[in-house]
Amino acid sequence: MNGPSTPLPPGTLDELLSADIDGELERAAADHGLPVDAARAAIGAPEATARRAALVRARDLVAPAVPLEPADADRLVAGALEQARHENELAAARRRRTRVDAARRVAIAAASIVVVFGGIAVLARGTSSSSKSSGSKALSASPTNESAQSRSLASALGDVSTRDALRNKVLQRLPPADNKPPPSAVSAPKAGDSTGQGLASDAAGGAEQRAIALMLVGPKGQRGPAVPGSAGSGRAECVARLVEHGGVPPAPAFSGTGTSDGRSVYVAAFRRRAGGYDVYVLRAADCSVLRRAVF
Amino acid sequence: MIHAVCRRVLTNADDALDAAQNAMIAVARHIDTFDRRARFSTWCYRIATNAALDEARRRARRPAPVETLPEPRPGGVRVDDAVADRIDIDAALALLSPDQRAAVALRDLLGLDYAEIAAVLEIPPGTVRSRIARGRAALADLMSGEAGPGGNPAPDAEHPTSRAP
Repeated sequence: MNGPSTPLPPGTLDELLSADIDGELERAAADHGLPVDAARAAIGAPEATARRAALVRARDLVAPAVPLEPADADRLVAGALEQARHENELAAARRRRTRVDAARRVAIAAASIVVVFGGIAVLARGTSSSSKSSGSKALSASPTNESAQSRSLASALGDVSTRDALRNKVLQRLPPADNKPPPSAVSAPKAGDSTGQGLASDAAGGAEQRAIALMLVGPKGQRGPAVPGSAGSGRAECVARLVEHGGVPPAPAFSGTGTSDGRSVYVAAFRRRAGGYDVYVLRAADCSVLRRAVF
Repeated sequence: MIHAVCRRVLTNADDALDAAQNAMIAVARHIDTFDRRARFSTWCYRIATNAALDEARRRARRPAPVETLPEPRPGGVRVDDAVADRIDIDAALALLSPDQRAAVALRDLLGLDYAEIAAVLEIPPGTVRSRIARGRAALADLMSGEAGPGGNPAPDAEHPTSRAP
């Protein structure tokens, strides 16, 4: 046990001083096995005065709240309301679907009975019927080269070396950022489950997110032309790696190609829950993240 | 206040907005499960803190850019600007662990007592006291020039009384 004449370790002294600043000295002293008088003597020593003042300054440093811009506050409220409305609609749709499913099961059962009894009746009459096979038209949905070409042009950003160039070129290819949540795998974090397990599912969904990203961007960079001279992985692969790494939604709102300081890059933009976009510039050579910006 | 907590815990404006958005959505989603055992504000702070800590974990998984472009400062005068010349608060707080920042923010920003902070963070009061003391000590050392960005962050050791015997 430390007595008043024994110098306290710096960490213990800091803790007693900090607790005293907050009016919690008695409990702190007890937890350290010190009589309150001994603790008071220790923190009242002249050499502790300067330390107390420093701790008070540290407290005062953290105390002021960083103001929130009114526009940001409005966006946060709108985002929360929009999400609540979206979830209510989903719940209602689920309830409707449950009712429709039940009705469909009844209808299928009834139809099955009719078919079975109809078949029995036909067999009983000993009749047979033949049906001619009719030629079916081959409906081939050939992709329109025109639309593919326009997509390619839209995703080729050109030089994005500067922040302004990146911002302008990406944003003009994206719809104005509203407050709708990004795709669901990350859009409904359980931050409010009060258990601190909020986004733990993100990590578990890594493979799924990669699959979604690959599916949406296309395995061979279908939304844009391959970057000439790119020795690294394709755009889809780079975006998928980024998604797999975590911390971004499972699918980009946009991905494209470009150059930054003469290097071939891929650009991927992800919608942020709080509005705006997270934009990543990935080096085509090795998929490393060259820059990240929020617009 | 939800945003203020997230801002202090995350030390980054964009991440704080994301976390605040998650927290507000969670409040709206779980409002019917609020059982009045704690004060509503405490319940909200718990959600906000959890959202911020979740965001911090996600940020830790995010790949770090290899180069950065200067970010334009948002317009308007910030309260922090009063001391910005002396010390960058965000850079200083970034030296602490997210858990320490949460404890310090709940105490110094919101004025919760140790018992309330313990309830919000679901940790023993002794651990709260320890985290606050270590956080403030690290900030104090930084201000006095004993540590700096790249210096030693305060270790987040649990308080002795909270350890298993």
